[in-house]
Amino acid sequence: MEAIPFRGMLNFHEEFQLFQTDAEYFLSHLTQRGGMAIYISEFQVQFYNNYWIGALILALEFVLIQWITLDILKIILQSLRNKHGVLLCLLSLIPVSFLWIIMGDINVMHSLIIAVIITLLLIALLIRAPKNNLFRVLETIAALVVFIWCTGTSHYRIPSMTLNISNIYNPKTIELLDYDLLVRANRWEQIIRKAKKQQPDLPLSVCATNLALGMTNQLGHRASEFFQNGPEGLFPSFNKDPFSTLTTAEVYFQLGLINTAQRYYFEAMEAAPNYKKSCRCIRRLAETNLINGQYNVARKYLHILQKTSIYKKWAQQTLTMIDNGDAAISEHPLYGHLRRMKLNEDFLYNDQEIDKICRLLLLQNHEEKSEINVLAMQYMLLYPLLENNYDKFVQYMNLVRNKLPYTQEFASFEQYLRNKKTD
Amino acid sequence: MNNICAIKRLIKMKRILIVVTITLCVVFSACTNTPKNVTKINQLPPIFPDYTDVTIPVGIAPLNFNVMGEVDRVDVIVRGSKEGELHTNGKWASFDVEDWHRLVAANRGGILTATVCSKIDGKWIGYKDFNIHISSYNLDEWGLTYRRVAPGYEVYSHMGIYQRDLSSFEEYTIIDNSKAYGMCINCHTSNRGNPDQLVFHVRGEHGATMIQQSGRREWLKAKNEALGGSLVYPYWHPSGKYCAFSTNQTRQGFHVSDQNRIEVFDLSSDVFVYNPTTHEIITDSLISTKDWSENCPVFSPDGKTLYFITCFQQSYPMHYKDEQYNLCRIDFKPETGTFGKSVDTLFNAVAMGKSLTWPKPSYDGRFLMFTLVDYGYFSIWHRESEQWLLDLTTGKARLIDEINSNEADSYHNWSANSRWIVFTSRRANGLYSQLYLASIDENGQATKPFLLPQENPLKYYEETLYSFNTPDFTKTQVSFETSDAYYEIDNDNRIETKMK
Repeated sequence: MEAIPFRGMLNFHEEFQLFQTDAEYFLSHLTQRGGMAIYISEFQVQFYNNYWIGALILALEFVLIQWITLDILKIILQSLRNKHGVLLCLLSLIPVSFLWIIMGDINVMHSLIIAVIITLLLIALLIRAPKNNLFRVLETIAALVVFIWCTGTSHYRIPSMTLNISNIYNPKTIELLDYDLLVRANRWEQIIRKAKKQQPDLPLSVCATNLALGMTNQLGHRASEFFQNGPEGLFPSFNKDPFSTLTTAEVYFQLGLINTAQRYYFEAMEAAPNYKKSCRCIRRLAETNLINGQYNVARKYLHILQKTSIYKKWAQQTLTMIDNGDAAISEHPLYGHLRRMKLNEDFLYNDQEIDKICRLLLLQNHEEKSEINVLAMQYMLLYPLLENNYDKFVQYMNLVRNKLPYTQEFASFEQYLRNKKTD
Repeated sequence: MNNICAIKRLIKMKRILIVVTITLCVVFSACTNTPKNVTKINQLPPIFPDYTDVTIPVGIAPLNFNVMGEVDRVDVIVRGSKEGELHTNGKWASFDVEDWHRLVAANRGGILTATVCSKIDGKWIGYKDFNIHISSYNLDEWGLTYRRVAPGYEVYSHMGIYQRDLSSFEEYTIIDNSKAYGMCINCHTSNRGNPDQLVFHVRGEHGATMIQQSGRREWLKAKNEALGGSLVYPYWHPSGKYCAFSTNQTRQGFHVSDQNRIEVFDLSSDVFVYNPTTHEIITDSLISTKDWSENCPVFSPDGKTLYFITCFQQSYPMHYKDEQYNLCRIDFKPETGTFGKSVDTLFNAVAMGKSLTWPKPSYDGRFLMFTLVDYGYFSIWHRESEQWLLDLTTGKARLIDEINSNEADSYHNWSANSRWIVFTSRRANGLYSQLYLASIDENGQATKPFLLPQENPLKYYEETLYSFNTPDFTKTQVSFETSDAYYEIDNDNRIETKMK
């Protein structure tokens, strides 16, 4: 278990919002019901970018909720105050524990925590009010207005849906979110270590593991160490959900299929059920446009990111890089590399022929740019093996043997094939 | 006691002093925001949107603009060639709406000259003046309608149909999917800009075609089995008795490395006419052929001709680049709802190696504007997409250089008096479509288009992650009972269409 067990959940909340620091963004929230809770929660969620800070914020908030609850209980149940302090303490833990459980559903927005805090503060204020009837009525009305303005909205990500018990701290979801976080951070070695501890068995986790193996040039000799679910483990089907699409998008991005990566990142953002935009997707969209030389769109995305506190510095640096001209991007270690990996030939994407696209990525780059797309090579060779199409594998193997000097790497694929045949 | 009073007086005086000091500071700092020691440079101001030498109608919202770059302050004086002037000073050029309207109206047919100064690093720079021409042609419409949606692929988030008052910056929602998650709304079309007759489609779980006439809504079943598909691109007959539609088996493809991202093509398509009174679909073998794809039907202003585009069906997706459309016409008799006996080719785009799409006749019957692309018909995803004008009296067509750009210039519509057009363009960044308006005179000469004004245009257009598409003029504000409509969408009560 990692030091922060639910770090993937924190990351998920952060990547599917785009908190902006300008006054207009604040004002746009003030005009909507419950906007204050949403605004404050978005403000805090942006810091989940660092999950240690995220965990600290949440811990403090939960402690605060318990304190206010205890304070309310002490006033309401004055008779128990002196003799049964421990009991009050235990009672005060109930709401916060219940909230903690509810927050285990990733679709419960963190604005709920803010709404609970505001509500409890209002209750604490109301019960302290003098017993003057008129004053109490006025105060209650004011509190109601504040309550609706601050908290009165649905705090569930998916409109017209409510809390689902089976979603709460679902181990599979938590595992996938952790993979999502690691893929986002490109922590390939950590992904492999994680997969080694517990075999990945879902399309997304298998895909993340294979990507990590590919990125560390180990796919050939280590793919057989992990559960494989066929070609889906390399390229999961697009099922229009925001979450799995992100990992697949990263595969295409790292392969140098920039248009396809761009499509997946765009789709992931648009698939968010609460219609929020995604800082992670916008950053990658800026990068894909940068690599494609579509600087005006890249600038648009970067200007939006400039209005965030977390991505502002990066956006400014990237804008400067664009201003420095095309050469600056071509020389960039990642963007320049991916630009060189891009296909020269254009055609319409066909997911049934993705191995052929990898073949093109490999051969084109090898022949025309003297740079080998090692990831495309590994994906091309593994794909037919996962399809159990050995003839195609041999065909690809021969192709690679004739073109490239990496015979030792390919031997591991052959071993993999032999193992599979024996199985 | 006296001492206390003296202390109180002293505190009061101190307060007055503080207020006076603050007021002086504000006045002083305001003074520094008026241009002083201006360095004149011989170049036009780098403004967004580019409103230099554009032609605008009387009644249009103020052409607020931003000066690009790190600008501390902008000072603009606009002088009318006939009378009046306006002054604004701020972070961007923002004109008072009422003052703007008065100035523009007083200078109809004349010119507004803008003198722009900007304060950069504490120094004022004065640019060359630029002109804004005020057309003598009226734009009588109340506003625009358009769909706003992210320029995505298969998934869409928030989207809807909106209307915008052209004389101000006010926008109103006609219907959106904020209360109907996953719902897609498209192809809204009124009859020559008159919202009394309105049609749009709802796609998704509760799909339907909505037809509203004089406030009464009907929800048609999305698909007609005999037709083999849905009602797609609509166009009202000028009498209001019919509405032409296409029905399309549309597919999408995605480019792996081209600058154009998406390809839209039809496995098949036909055109037909729908009679809203009888709910009958009127088709004909000449416009519903097996080997040809007919699409984008529009009626002539006299209602006696149906224009449409047609191409020889290809095998898709392999030969999508061979999908090229021509402009054709067929007679239509509104009295009987019948078609003529032959189809004529009006403009042979295929002979030019091009493909024609979105034909839209001007309401005075003189011109027909269309879009030309290399292949296909879904021009918004074609950077080479350009606007053309066909003179229906001479049969000659020309590229409208005055309004085209290097990015996709596409979907257009005419104002009721045929002197103004609205169209979409991706010229700003190559992806997010924005709305441009331009004037077209009796000879078909267009003026430099201007971007739909916004209160703070740079902020608005830079921050939006949505495209504007399918724009049209609307004579009056569209009246639509949105909450009732949501209920009707949800309850799935649909009227069946039938083949005649």
